[in-house]
Amino acid sequence: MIFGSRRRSPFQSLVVYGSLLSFSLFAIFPVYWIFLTSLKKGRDVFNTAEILFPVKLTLFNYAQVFKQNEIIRWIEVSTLLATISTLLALSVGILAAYSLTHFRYRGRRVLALAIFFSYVIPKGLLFIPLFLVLNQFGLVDTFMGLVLAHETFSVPFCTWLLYGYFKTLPKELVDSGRIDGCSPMGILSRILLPLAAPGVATAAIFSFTTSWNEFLYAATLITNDRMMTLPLGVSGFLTADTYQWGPMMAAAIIAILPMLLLFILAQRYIVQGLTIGAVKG
Amino acid sequence: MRISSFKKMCLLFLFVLAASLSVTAQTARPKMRMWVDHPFLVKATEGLLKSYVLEWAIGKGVDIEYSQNSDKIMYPRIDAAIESKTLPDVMLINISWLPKLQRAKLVQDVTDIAKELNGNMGGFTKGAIAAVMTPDSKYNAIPFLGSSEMAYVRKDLLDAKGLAIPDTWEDTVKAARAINNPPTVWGWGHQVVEFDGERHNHAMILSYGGAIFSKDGQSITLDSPQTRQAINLIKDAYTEGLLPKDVVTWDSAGNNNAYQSGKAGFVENTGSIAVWLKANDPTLFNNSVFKLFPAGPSGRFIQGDVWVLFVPNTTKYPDMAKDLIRNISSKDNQEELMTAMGGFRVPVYIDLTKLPLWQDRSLKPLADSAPFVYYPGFPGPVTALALEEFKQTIVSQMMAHVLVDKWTVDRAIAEAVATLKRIQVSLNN
Amino acid sequence: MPVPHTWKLKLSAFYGARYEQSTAGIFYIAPLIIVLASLLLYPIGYSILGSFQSKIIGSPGKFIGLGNYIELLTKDQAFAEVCFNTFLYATVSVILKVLLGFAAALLLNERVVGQRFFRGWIMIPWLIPTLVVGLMFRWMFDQTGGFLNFAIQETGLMKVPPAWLADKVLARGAVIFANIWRGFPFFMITILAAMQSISRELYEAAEIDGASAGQRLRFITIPGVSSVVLVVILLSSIWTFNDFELLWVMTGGGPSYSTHIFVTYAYQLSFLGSRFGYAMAVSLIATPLITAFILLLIPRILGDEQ
Repeated sequence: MIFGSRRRSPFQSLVVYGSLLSFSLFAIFPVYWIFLTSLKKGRDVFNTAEILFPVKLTLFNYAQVFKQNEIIRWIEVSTLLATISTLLALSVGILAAYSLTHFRYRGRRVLALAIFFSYVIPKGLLFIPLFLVLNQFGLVDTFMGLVLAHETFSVPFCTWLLYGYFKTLPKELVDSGRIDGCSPMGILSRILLPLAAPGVATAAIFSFTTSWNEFLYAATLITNDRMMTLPLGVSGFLTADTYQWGPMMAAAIIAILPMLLLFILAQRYIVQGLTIGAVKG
Repeated sequence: MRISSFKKMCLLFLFVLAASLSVTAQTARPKMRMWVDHPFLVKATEGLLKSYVLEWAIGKGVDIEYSQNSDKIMYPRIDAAIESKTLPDVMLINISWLPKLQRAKLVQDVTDIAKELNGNMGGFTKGAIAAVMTPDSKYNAIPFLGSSEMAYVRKDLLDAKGLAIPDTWEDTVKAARAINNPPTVWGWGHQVVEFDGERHNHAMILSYGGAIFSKDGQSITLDSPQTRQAINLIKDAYTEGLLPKDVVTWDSAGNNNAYQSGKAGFVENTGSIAVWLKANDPTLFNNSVFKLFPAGPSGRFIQGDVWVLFVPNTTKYPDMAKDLIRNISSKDNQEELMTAMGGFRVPVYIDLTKLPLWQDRSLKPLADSAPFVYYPGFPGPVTALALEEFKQTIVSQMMAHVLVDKWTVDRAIAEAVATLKRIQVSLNN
Repeated sequence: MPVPHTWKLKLSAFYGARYEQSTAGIFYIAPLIIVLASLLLYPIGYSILGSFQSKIIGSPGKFIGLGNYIELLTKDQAFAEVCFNTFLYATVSVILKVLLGFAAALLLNERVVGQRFFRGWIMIPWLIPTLVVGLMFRWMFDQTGGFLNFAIQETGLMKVPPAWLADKVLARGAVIFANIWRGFPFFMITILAAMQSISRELYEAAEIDGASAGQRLRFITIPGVSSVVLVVILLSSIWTFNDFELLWVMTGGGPSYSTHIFVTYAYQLSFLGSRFGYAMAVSLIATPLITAFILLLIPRILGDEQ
């Protein structure tokens, strides 16, 4: 336990696996219910009693979602949006975090503080003047406009998260890099980034998912149906006061899959062992 | 990430950037825009309206971007557009937007087209006209769709207890008491908060002989014995457990879900539940009786709602916009749309209440409700204050203070009146 | 120079960063400054100015100085409750998310069979659209049709289970629960990534020196992730403080203001009530406190000046 070399005792194993299972249940149970609802048609969604042994399951809702809605298109747009906005935010954030952790200059602390102030005005009110700004630049109802709107919350996030990770990296490596005559960019790309890969991957994952799930800016800025993002599309299932539970839950499940895939891929970077050998080198 | 993958990242980045630019390029800006902030029950109906608009556009050789979304999307979008003065050319919106649009000086006089359409299909209903007419008899907008409410009754539960179908609030409470059997079924699924609840509360106060506003629309007359009667009726029923406790926090789908899942004996709602029952639950449909909205000692009142076609004065194509309105308000289109909506909305044109659609037993009470329908502000005119009050659900908040915070009725009424006075002051500035 | 043996000494030598005394740093932070300044200076200024105005969307605002703030503090009947709700919601949610996230990260840091499976599974709450999460919990806690009550009834705990979302105290508990469920994967993954960056050597050296698992946790793991944890607490606190969508969808601030926090209340005032200036004041009233909170934590995070 906690990286000891001794094997875990049976009791410790029980604790570990038991806890993991509990966490999994905690995380999954509501989603199981979403999944179950997505498989029910019409009034069957109200059959709470069948939660453990459901009957009358059908793929009708999934078929309906694919036929009647442009869910594929929504996922495409959301993926593109999240990808670009994450890449942009990461680039800016990596450089900024590097600057804050490895350089000293006047105004550094003030800047660090100021970055947090991007969050002081809640989005629910900030979106109006932000819309005015983007309108001035003719960016309303454009893809880049929405990307830029997302940068306003992604950049501070990536910067600060990466700051946290950069701070944990061993000084000796940077020193030895400098001694070897490495340029500052070289230190960043050859030493820091590889070591901070778990941090970068994490920042990427959360920046991606936040952009993916973002609703308000997308709703305000995008009026063209062809550029609808996934959250906007899913809200379309709230038809007046009669919610279409089945199709909405089906859309939610479909929506999880690409992101789950992304997460499983990105996990490769959150792996112990990248620092082994680096210090000795 | 080693160096080579860093370069890979750069390439990927550039590729993705190029892809994004191609997405941007595809969306060329159209000449006209229409926004629809109206929830449609069935996608097909929304498609119908869209088809009218697009056909018109093709016929005129005009590009139009048509956008219909839920109000979660439309509210912030319209607000941002109001602030930046970038509203579209035509909008289908609820009348509660009109005060804001008026204050932002975005209203366009559409009296010409309104008078023309008023000559069709028997003309607009009185309430619809009242909702869109300015004090100097000009039209702010064109009525397009209305709504009304009726009562849904679980006849099977009543029959089991040998009870007659109630018609007044008091009788409804009595019957609810008899069939109340939580957690299997709650007697009365009466919505008391949100827009639905606001409509119900208004109606109840009026049915006891009270009113929120005076006949000239200038005074706030909420503080009255009649208001207290209405509040106490709900309060006693709630405390007794005849209403699910959740009614104080339901959203607009709350009473729908309660009735549709078989957990409520009585609810009041628009035709949306009937539409759902017909499509999804024939058993429950057969066990249901559909009747007029309940009455009080001083009469029967139903708060209606209106959705209007609005043309902002910032549009570059006012004549085109009016022509579009003329087209989608045509007799054929209105009849087709009304029928397709299956009773979810009621017509704003008097003659349309005679459509065969309304003969169905599940929709007849809606058609019959016309004499009882009134609009925010009644017995006074539809004022900005009345619409603001409705949008902020002041009376519902008052009810919630009594039921949830356990305030005394007096305190709750006083707070509501104070809030209304504050709004009145801010509107007059 | 020989590397010191004691792993405790190794720690202080390892963490923190050495600084370059060069203004090249400004060059690297320039992109951030450009992006944020061009996009946010006007909106933030506009918003702050708006809070000192009597403003309705669509009309120009009228300057009224501290009028909004004064009204908020003296005449607003809901203010005290909204204040309380906000701090309760933010504090309890963040604390529990930190604890849960940290515990989950510890578990996932261990070598276990099916590690990837568990990580993916536990991440799922974060991947669902917020709208769906809010609606799902609203339904789950529903008295008439909700699953929670059904379970309580079936197991015979109570004949008529409570209406979770209709009771002031229970509703607050429900929204906190929803927020934690939705948010703890964030803490879990960020802390896990930080744990994975800690050199194995430290643990090995510590074990050789006879440190127990608990001591290794206290002296290696926790300090090793501390800067990340602090940053994440800061971020999450601000986000939870400003968390709009989940609350709005789940309870709309109800019942009767018991789950209204500053942002939802501001939204209700601004979009249902048209009072943009006043809504701004509501959102900004807690800014001095948040600033104080940030100022408290930032020196710790920026620390290790060498």
